[in-house]
Amino acid sequence: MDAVLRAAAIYFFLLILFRLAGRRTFAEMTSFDFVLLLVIGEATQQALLGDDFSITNAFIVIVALVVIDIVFSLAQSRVPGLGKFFNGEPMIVVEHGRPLLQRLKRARISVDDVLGAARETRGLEHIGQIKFAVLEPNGSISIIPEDEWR
Amino acid sequence: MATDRNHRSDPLDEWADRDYPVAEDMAFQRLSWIIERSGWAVMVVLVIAALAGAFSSGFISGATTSDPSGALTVEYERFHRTGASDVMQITAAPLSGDGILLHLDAGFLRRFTIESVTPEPREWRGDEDGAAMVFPAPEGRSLTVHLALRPERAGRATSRIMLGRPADHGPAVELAMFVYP
Repeated sequence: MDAVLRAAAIYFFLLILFRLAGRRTFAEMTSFDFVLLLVIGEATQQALLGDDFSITNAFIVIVALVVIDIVFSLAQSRVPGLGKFFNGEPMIVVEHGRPLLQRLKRARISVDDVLGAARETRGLEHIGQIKFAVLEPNGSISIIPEDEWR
Repeated sequence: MATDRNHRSDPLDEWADRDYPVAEDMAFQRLSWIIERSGWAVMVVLVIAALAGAFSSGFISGATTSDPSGALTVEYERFHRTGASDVMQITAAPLSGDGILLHLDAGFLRRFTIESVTPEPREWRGDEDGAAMVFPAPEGRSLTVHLALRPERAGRATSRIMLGRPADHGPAVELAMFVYP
């Protein structure tokens, strides 16, 4: 019983924490972000296993985590608002070459981040070539170029 | 194009929902930003509370209590965490010339595993209310005992530590503690 409750507590704690941290926090991982994630995993491990290092406990914890994840994804597809609430929605941050500055500011992205994504994904040079830039729920920025730059 | 780039759009327009290329719900988006910002505030409060000792080991957590006569003093942590070791220090003055008997109630024993006692008691005596450690008479005026504890169960823990047998109604202190999961 204990192992399942531990798994559930950690699952929902991390879910809420990462939602609150915002989608940009770990979107484009620098090597430091990667190390930070490893350290978070390290800190989680103890609480997840307690002082029970048996294979049975590991099995229970892993199965419980996977089951919670499956149930949660099923619930998200059944209840429309749930997925929106926990994953967020895509949001337009540049339209027809015009940055939507209030949105960028609240989402903690700079115009340079958008231009970086435009260079990386579409090889674009300036903001006028961007028809739409969309901040996706996973934190990445997708770029739709103006028709003449496709 | 230059005019477009320098154009500072009015907020009202930015908060309007777009349908293309993605359907937006900006009211929801703004709500989730508010929740996000409140979440940060909660996290900052949690970190400050942890520094202050609200989750054990800190000035909020550390406590000292004595019985009215001053014969028994207990230094302890108000907050504990399941499975994390903690120390408690009990100072007791002998009631009469012979040894010292420190009684721990059943609530205490149920909640904590006693990992070690320094100095070692001469013997342990059990009764229906808990267990007592018996020490030989100290060299000086009082005896200080260090307990290394391991909380086993989460929840509120109220315990009673008593000098002498429960039947003697000797000096006693009540400890109100909380064990985090």
